[in-house]
Amino acid sequence: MDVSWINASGFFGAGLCMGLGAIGAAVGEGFIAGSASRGISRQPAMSGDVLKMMLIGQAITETAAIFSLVIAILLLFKTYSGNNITQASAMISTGFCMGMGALGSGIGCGFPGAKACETLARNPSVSGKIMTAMLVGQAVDQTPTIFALFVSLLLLFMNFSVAMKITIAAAVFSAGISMGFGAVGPGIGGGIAAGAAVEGIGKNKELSPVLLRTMLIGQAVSQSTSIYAMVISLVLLFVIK
Amino acid sequence: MEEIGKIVKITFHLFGYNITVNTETIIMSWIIMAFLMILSLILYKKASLIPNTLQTIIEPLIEGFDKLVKDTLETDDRKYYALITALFIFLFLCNIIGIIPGCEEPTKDLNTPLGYGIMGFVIAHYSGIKVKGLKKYLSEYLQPFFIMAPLNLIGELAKIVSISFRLFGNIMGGSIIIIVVSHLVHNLVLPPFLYAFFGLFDGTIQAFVFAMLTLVYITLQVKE
Amino acid sequence: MQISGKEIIEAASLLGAGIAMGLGAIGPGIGEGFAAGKACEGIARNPNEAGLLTRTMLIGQAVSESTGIYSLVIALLLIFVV
Repeated sequence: MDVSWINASGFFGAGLCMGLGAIGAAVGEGFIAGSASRGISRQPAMSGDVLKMMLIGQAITETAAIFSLVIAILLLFKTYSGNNITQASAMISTGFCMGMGALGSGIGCGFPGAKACETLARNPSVSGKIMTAMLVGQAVDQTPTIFALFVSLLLLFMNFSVAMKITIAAAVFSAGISMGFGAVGPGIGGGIAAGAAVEGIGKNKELSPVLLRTMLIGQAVSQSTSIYAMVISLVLLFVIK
Repeated sequence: MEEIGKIVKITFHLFGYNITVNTETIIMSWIIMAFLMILSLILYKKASLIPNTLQTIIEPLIEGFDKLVKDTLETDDRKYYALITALFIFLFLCNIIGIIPGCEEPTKDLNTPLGYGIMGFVIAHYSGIKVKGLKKYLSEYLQPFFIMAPLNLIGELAKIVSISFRLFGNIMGGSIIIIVVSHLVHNLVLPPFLYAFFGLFDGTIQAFVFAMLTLVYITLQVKE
Repeated sequence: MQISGKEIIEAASLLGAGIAMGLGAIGPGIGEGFAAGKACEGIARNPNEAGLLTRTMLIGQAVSESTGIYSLVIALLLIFVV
């Protein structure tokens, strides 16, 4: 492989991406496993069902880290079109965007998973409703991470072989920072909302439609800040010339 | 490692436009559609009161989805039940077809999830306008202040991005990781654990999530 | 490569826009999630007041959202005006 300084920025971005992206999912999965252990210790007869719920919740939580892994692999094996400072800043920005973007929803997805395992051990009769609520809550909670993936893929595959210009390099870097940080808060907040909804459904399963609806509205509103961040990123990428 | 992210496609000219067709995606989708049509014809012909083997597998699935849609929409109306069930079964087969050697998942190509995402979006908003009336539907975009209308509109459109990139990212991510791991072990052994996780487990969950989110978007439009 | 002072200012303002929007989105995101979570808890405890709780949740979220909107405005100003 012909390694030049442009590759070095790609490697730096890949490391940033996977390193940051692994934090969130690891914390979230730890929450779920801890709650599952507590649930089983309280109700050992339910151990099989709680284990199944734990694995499904962890698989969804893992999605954020898998997105980071994919972007990191793409950064490692990319062939570069340009050889200038804009391309280098785009590579680091891609890694930062996906890494920070995966952090929030990794932690956030842990809350509904943990509540689902705990509630299931207490009230085994609602397992189907809890699982549906947990899956939907976690999936919607991952929306900011998916915005980060979208911006990362744009940064990765846009053509930056333009003349050297420091403003464009700064705009490209700024796009990654905006979307990366912007996905952290909504990722954690949506998870808190989903966790409370799952707990409520466990207490009173008749309320599942109204709780699911309240959860979705709350998550949608709390995600609007990540949508602003995506708008700013797209403006920085496409409007600045 | 050239096969990462590669999509087989042909381009031809028609009336002055360049038309690109992703052949692999389309052929795989057609195979799955044909399989589902033949399966449903067989099941329809052979359906009996005493269930045979195939019926015992399919019936709990159908009943489960019927109950799920009824519970979520809080109505006995079966208008959306067939759509959600069909979406789940089709996307489930799309996601797991990769475990057959030589077959590629159609959902690995962004165009497939994007197509179904736009379909769900259009159905949800059409039902919303039909149930609430155009005036009430439009007034919801002015909440909480009228200045927020463009941002509300972007928020609605972002739902298409989130639902389609979720499925695409998971399935493409799984296939990229399988390619890389197979490359690292020099294709001596295929990693069966990865196929089981990304193909069967993650594929099933993501197909269910896609169908559920389409249902949830319809519910949010139809209710209140 | 010649970098003029004007270009440095432009580059800095663009970087500032990204940082403003990115960091500004963290707080409202977590705070609005708290509000939604507490509303869900409240509905689980007292389902008859679901409508009132949802309205209160939306008002609280709209207020805590305002800091996010300030960030958006500042970011847009930094991009288009400075």
